[in-house]
Amino acid sequence: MKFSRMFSMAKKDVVIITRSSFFLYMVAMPIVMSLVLTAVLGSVGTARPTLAVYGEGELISILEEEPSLNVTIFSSEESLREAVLEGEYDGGLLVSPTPKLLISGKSLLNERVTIGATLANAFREVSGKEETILFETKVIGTEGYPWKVRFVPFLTIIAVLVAGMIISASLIEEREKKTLNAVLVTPITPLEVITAKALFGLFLGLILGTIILVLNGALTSGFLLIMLFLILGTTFTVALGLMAGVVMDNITDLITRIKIFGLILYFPAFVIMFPQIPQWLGKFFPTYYFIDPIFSITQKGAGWSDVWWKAVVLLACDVVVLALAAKVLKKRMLGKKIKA
Amino acid sequence: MMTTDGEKIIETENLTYSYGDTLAVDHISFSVEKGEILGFLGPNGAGKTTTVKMLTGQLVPQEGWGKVLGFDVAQEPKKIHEKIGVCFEEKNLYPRLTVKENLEFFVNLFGLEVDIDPLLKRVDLSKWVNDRVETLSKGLQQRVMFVRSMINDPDVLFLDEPTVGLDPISADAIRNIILTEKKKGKTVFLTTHNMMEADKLSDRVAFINEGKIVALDTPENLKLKLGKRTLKVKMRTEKGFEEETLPLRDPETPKRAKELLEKRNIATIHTQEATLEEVFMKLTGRKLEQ
Repeated sequence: MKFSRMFSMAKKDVVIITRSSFFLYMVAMPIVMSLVLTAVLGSVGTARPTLAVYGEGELISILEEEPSLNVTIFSSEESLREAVLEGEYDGGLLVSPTPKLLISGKSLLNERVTIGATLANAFREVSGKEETILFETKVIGTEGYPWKVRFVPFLTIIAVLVAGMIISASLIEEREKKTLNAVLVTPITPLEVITAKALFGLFLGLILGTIILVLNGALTSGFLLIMLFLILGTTFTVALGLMAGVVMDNITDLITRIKIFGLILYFPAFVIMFPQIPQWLGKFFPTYYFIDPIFSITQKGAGWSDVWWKAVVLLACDVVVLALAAKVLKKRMLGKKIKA
Repeated sequence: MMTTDGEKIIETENLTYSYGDTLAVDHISFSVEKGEILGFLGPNGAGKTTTVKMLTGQLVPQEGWGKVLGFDVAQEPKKIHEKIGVCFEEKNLYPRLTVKENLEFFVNLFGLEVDIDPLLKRVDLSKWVNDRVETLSKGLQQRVMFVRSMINDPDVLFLDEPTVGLDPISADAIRNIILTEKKKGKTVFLTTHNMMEADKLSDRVAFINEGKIVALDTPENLKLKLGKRTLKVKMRTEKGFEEETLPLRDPETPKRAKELLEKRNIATIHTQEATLEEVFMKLTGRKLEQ
């Protein structure tokens, strides 16, 4: 395999994508959706956590000056508890007699971390000592995620599916316009053509997935782990895309099939979006092992020890779908009709 | 006309391909020598394009074998691809890329550093170099296709209807380039419907019908062997003109011609050569344009 030929192939695909309204629409769709949702629901990770405070003293004035928090002073303990319970505030601090932090069940992990760290600093400033600060913390209200968070898995899955779709559409277009015939009577091999398209799809999926996570403020921790799952997830959709690219007759056919079978790929995102759906149902779908770990890492602070087995399942799904894709590609492109 | 040194550049033996139950190419055997232009003629569906596809490694022969430049078409297509140029019948350029981008992409696939400007000048395409292919007329696209087949300075050119859709001047320019390439020792496999073109360019022509080669010889020999040469005499009459066609090989023709010259008012008189179309019809009972 020659890298320069594959690079030329991928470079040509990039230029074509930038000049096609269909391809541009597909790439822009998840980005525009993210921007719209951010405008409507607010960003997941960039807004300052909100803290309700009841009490008096130097601590209050320090907290009011704190740039990392949005602090509101309450006139009674009851109204503070009610506001935190309803999820109107991410946390509530009862200053006296002993400091007590109430955390809303609907607050996000990064918001909880910010509130905890900021409070600890404020307490140290009041006491003038650099010691470990302990205060009682209690989560109140139903644990759950706001809509802005629940959309993130859906948008992430769209991003990697778009990468697969673009590769598929690009291959179909090459077959429809017979440009593939012209390419394959040059020194480039069918394997190099497929590899170039697959690598381009992988790159596109990674970039789009990262943009979506950044736009939604979800790329706050576990960057390398998230990248691993993005690579494994995009590999899955790109392999599906390559298979569809050699099987489908035209782009209309592709879009029709995506409308029908896309639900299978999107379903785990709906499971996360709507907690009323039994969550175990998601585990029957391969894409669950892609978005659930990303959701756990970004929203629950999960680490490698929590998600490693999901990476293994996703890798196994990749191996199966790549083997299937190789079989289909060999039969349709590398073997029966066109010899490598 | 042929400038060969006997080296066989294209060779086939019992080359066969079927699409399901339809036998597209039926055990054809032929060879083309270095520097030769072989015109491959036949009506639509005769098996011309399938033959080209097998010779260029796009289809694997189901029976028989084919060799181009000594490489087996089924076993070593990539070695062949490095040294051939293919001009397809269908317009298969990237419509959203410019002429320059299309050609540079293929230059890169060959791993070459080629200045495409002289090639563009040869077919008068320089003016459109930065235009997207989708904005070009069919004729201009055909010229780009032809240039693309030449970018690697190939030893063998497979040209499938290279002048289709072109105006007479552009078509002539391309025909001249084909002849120039032949003079340089390049071998050309020319697939065409256009008998005039085949007649003008080809050292030999092969007629293919229903997947079989029904005749293979120089255009001259085919016309002599199978065509009918005639003497056409046009005479003035009171009502206008009258025509009489006399077969040249008929022993009675000189006598009849003399009679007409002496007794009738002759307007024009000329010999008429058989055409490849007539030869093909005589062989197959079909028209080439079918």
